Amino acid sequence: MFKKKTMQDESYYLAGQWQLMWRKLKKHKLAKLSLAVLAILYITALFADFFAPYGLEQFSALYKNTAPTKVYWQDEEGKLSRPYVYKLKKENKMEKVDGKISMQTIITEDTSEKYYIAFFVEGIEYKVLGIKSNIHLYGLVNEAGEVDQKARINIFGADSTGMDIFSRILFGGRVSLTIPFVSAAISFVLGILLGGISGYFGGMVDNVIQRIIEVLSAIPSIPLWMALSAAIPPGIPVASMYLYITIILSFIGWTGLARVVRGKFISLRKEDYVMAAKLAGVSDFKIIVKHLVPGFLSYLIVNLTLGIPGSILGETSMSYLGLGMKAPATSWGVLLKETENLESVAQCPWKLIPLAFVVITVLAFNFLGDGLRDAADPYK
Amino acid sequence: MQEVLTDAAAVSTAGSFFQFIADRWIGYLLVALAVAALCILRFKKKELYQKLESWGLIFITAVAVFGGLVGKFIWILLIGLLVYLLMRLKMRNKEMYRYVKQRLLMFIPTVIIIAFVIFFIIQLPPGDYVTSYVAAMSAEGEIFTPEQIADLRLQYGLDDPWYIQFFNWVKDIVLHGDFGYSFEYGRDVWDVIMDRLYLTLAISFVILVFQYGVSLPIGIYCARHQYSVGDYALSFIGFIGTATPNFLLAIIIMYYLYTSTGHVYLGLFSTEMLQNGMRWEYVPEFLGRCAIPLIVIGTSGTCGIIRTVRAQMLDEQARQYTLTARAKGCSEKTITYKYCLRAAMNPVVSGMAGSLRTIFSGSTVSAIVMNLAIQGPVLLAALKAQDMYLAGTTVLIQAILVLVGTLLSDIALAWLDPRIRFSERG
Repeated sequence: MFKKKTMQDESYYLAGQWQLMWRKLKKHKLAKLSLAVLAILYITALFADFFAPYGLEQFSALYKNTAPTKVYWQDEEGKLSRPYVYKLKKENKMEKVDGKISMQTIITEDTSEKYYIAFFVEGIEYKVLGIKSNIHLYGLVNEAGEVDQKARINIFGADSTGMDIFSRILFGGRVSLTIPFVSAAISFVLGILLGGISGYFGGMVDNVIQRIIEVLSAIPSIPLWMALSAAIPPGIPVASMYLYITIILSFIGWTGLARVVRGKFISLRKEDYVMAAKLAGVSDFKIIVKHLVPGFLSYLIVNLTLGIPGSILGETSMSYLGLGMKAPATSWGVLLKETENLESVAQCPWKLIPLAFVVITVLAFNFLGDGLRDAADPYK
Repeated sequence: MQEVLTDAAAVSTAGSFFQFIADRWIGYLLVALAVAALCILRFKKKELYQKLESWGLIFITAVAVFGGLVGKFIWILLIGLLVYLLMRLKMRNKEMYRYVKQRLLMFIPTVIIIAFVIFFIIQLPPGDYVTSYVAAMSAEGEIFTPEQIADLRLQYGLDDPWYIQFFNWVKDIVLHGDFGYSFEYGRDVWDVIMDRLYLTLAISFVILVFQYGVSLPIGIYCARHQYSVGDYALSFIGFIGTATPNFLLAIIIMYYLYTSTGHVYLGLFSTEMLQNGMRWEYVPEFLGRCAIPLIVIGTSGTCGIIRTVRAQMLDEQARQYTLTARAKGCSEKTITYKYCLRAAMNPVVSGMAGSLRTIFSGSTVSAIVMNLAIQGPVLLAALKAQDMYLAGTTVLIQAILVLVGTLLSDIALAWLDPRIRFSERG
């Protein structure tokens, strides 16, 4: 290992700590990929209004529970054409079953008119980062080249209200990608602080904090969720509901980290370098932050990046149980609530697409965490 | 496409299944005899005792778990076993003894605090059982006068403030072993819980073993072969189970099984099993059905353990002592398992109790989807209906189990890392 370092050019020695970490992070290929994936997810969530063809209020009863819109590349003669779709229409069909006539409503494609896929089309107005616009990344135009809202393009199908699942995923990402981030950060700070105090000082303080942790971490999370979300007043705006759920998730999450931090502090505080710092008159707070925490930074990073996907999954479970965000609001958990039983999956398999986003995000955070851990490892 | 599965039938089959492996009186007798025999040997024939000791303990634990589980005397037995182990510890290792004693003394007050917190949390949502009962009955067209509602409250003892109710609840538990009355079921809470307790415990325990059994080797492998194809591939497999929400994984697996076999595997027991009771020829199918919840709930925790093990092992492999050991000529096997792994186990062991809690919560959501006759769904229904004694006792039992897990993992930690028990001593 030492040899490798001398082989490298001089910039290695001039590089700061963060530059070194960045270099090592790049070695972990999956971590690099994950970083890119997460960047894309966060950017599309931030600019969801632009990337999504439809807003959250644009739904269509006709498109209820319909499969992903079929995109055609070839025209009737089989020649390559500009990609187009057909709009849907309702058709009443008479059927004779056992001598009785029964009416059935089926939804089919209306092949009389073509709608072409176009980029940067005008749609519903929105405002993001102070910029007002009505341009969307893609949309449909009719043969005259005008924007037409009668036909819809739902690349991932439509949900039970007839809303475009793709648009909802992007808007849901705003909630599902930031709640975990904030709540993991809160529980991270709480965990290090309380675990650190407990392990560093020991004695009575340690005992009290340990009992609190023990009590909190012994209670299964479902009753905690139920009780805490029952405390959320009904009918509050989405923004404050968001805040409440963040707090609930972080309130439950910190205990595990605190326990581990305490264990590490106990084994580290007897080390000579801590004693040396104490003799040199360094304050307790500084010893904790500057001397002890870097000693197991790699574990902390693993824990933090594991905490974020944990909260993402927690949010979906809460929504599934009807305790989290509720229907008019959009989050990935709310979207997945539509797949709550076998029948709905069997009938509308495309409703599982939001799951792919959850899985990809969780995996990306995990691999990124692995890469960061390796990067923070000073021995490599 | 749905098999008709009544809850009660599933529960009674579970009961008969455990009856099937447990005969409490014989088990009780065997354990008592074995303990007595070991005690006599301990003082009379020390050499023979030392040879038999570990086997004897394994035997006693096995019989106690499988043979005595149904009987009430199990508690006496377990306490006896605990005292015996403590005495043995006192003779062998004074420090550990002091540490364990201190932790055991803290156990009871912690349980009381937990019971208090649980009761507080459960009564926190507005309304009580009568409110939800009246709401449910009104939906069906029945009309209640305010006097009737007040009568119902009085009858159920719900008009006292919650801390008085808590006090009465604890008093009855301590004095009479009475955990209260389930309004929903119209039976004693303890009976309702006992219906499903063994199955819940068995499933949770098997899942815990599965989680660690799968993820420890993967974690060690990934650390030893960092950045290899195996590292990426195994991590990916370990992660994917965690990355999928439990209930969806259950739905996807059942959907896949349904499309490929045409059967819907709901619950642990098939219709034939429910009709005919448990028989030997059903065991393979039963095990197959058990595999679904095992995979669904088990994989939810593998990712965390794999990552922690991998990270810790990588840290330890780079330490000076590993270099020293390698320079001395220790084999890679010794270095990995005897040096690094032991040092790396600290966060893994202290996370074990947390895994148990995650399993309890995780299994609730999946159990609803998979129609498992375990406690999770009952707990959820009880919480929703504000059936507070049932909910309270269920949560209390789960909390105590997690607490025992914490205690065991702390003891294991102190055993692994001597610095911890020194610090506890002051």
